[in-house]
Amino acid sequence: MKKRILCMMLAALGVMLTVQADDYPYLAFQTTDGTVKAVSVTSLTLTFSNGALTATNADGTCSFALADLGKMYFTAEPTAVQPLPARGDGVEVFSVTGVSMGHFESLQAAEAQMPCGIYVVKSGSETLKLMKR
Amino acid sequence: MRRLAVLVALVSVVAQAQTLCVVTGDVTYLFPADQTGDMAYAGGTALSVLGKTFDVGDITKAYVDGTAVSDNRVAVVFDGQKATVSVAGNVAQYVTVTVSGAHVTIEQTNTGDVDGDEITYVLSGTSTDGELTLAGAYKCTVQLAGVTLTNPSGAAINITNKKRIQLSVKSGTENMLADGAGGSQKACLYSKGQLQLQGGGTLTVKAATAHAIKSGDYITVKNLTLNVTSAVGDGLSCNGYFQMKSGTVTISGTGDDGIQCDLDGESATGETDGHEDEDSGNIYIEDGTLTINVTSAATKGIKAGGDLIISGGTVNVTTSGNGTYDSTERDAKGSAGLSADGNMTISGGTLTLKNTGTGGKCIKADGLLTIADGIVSATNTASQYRYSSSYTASAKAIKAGTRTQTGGSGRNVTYSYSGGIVVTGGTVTASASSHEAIESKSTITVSGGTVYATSSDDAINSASDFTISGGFVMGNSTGNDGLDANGNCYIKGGTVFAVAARSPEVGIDANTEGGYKLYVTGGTIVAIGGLESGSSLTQTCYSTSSYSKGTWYGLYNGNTLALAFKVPSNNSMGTPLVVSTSGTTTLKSNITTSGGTSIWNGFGLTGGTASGGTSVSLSSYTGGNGGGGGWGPGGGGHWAPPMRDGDGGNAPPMRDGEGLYAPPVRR
Repeated sequence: MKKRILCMMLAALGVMLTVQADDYPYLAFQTTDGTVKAVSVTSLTLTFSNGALTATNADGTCSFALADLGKMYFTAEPTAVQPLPARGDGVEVFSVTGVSMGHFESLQAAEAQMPCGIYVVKSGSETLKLMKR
Repeated sequence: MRRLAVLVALVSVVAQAQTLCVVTGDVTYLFPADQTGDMAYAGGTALSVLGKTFDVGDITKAYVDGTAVSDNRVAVVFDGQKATVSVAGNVAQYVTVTVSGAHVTIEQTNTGDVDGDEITYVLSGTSTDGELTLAGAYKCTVQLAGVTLTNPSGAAINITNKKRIQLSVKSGTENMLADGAGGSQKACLYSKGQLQLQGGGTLTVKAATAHAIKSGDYITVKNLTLNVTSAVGDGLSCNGYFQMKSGTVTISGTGDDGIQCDLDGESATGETDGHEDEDSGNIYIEDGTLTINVTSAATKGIKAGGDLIISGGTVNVTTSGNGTYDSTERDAKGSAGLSADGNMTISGGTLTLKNTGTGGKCIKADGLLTIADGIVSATNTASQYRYSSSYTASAKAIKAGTRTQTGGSGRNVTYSYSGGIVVTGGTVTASASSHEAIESKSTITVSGGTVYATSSDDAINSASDFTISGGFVMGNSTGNDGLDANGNCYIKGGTVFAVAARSPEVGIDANTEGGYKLYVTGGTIVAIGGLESGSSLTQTCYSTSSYSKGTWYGLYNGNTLALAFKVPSNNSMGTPLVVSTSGTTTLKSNITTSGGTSIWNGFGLTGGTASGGTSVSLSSYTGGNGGGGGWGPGGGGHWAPPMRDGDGGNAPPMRDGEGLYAPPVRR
């Protein structure tokens, strides 16, 4: 009997993990310059006033000028990604296995041309792991 | 076990997915996080989510929580003087909602399924001043999930969408729709498109301006319990066709018909198979329980502009409205329980029909009435409606067929006949107090089933030929002929028990004076009051001049009990008692019966056995208790009956002066 219950628990755990895979605990805001900021969706409220979007949750409040906002999206990633600094020599994009995917003038240009996936982007001495959705 | 509980709780918590709720006034759009993808901002003024573009100035607020979202669902919750609406994100782009107090208007723009399904609008809550108006160009479902909604200024639900609408009443819920008086709405619940009423719940409708439920196209009913408790117009009104598949429908308090179906177009499409593209004006009752009580003048319980087809279910219709004069059609009109401008077919079900309104009928079919199975009980206790001597309506239990004058005048008038009555099975019990219990304006043909008719007039009358080749037929008249054909009467088979009131009426009559005749070529026959004079009796008939009321008799064909019958105890009954079988005919009185099946309201027994009894002395009978006349050979029976009014050779064949025709020449 205990064995059966254990099997049921494991099966349920599998379901739980599957459901958890669709969990989106963050809402990310991306401005038109590529800046991304993700906030927790726990108790998250958005208000629109005076040309600004104000996001309020248990962590605090942050605002975005609506004119600067490009999009928002739900994400499982908590990382707030800052834009890569402007470099005269652009950015180089690699796959997660290290294969070079190309050289682009800017991060925005790379994003526009690359298919969805996870990439390592190198600009000058800085390297970031990014996901295109 | 405790670990299991913890695990289940954990699953519950984890399964609570995120939902972005965008609030604009009283409307909340629910976007599941896993559907939203990128939500784009544009120009600092617009936000687009799943194809729905919001002016950010219209967004009251937005928030993220764990609200569960059912795709394709729009929920409308009425709460007193206001209503709130929530819209599933996957259909948000196709739905525009306007809310004013508790008056909700929704425009739906999709032209196909969304994510493989149609949109469902779920209504709940209560308001005494609210409505739902729904526009669109694609099919959808409106679910009533416990809503009590009154609109004093229009329809409670007004669907201008021309497509198929499923109106589903959620199981276990009670719902009520009402409208106000003096409005311009066509119904309390109106659908311009096809309306499918279904679900396992209960819906009550009260209409103070026009119909309770109206569809511009067909209506189907399945499963639900529907109560129409009041309406100025019809209970249910539709075009194309009406189909009741199951459920319980109760209609009362209407100012017009219980259920009415008309053609949608100028003429029928001729399509009835599967009801695809059907525009027939037909009404189909297939199963369920249908109870209708209409009380207004000359109204119909069920009125089909085309055919009425009943194949099952329980149908109870009571009409009590008196007759009235229709100035448009310049005719006197009476009520009817079941009415068909076309044919009527009954092939199953249990029908109980009662009329108490003057000039009313239980069944009225202008075309052919076919009864193939089922149980039909039609009781008419009303008298004639008389607007003037030229405009009358008779109160008959069952009337079918049409007789049309084609030429001539006076006694030379000629007619064409259409429709009529055909009985091939089932059980029919018809009773009328003042006029024929069963009347065909054309022919009557019985080849099966059991028919019992009783009236103070002819029990059964046909304007044209009357043929019996099978089944069990009893016509019990307390004031006229048992069976009366204004054309020829053919008894070819079956079992017939005909009771006439008194001389000169006869048990079985044919229009001898009009040049027609009674032909007896077979069957098992009992005729109290004898047979029409001039009959052609190929099968030997016998008679006895005396019989006893309320006594059981056994009619034998050889040694086989062909029929056990009980003589009615009517105040007045004619003589002789004529009997005939296909073989050697003998008769016993005072038999004792056992077993079998009682028929003819207890006046007959089939399949049983008889014992005891006393043999009745029979005399050979050659026919001739009717008046005879210029066309026929005249009497010749044991009795020398007096001439009946109008039975002479100059008597015109026309009778029954209903409508524009002349009043009856004779009875």
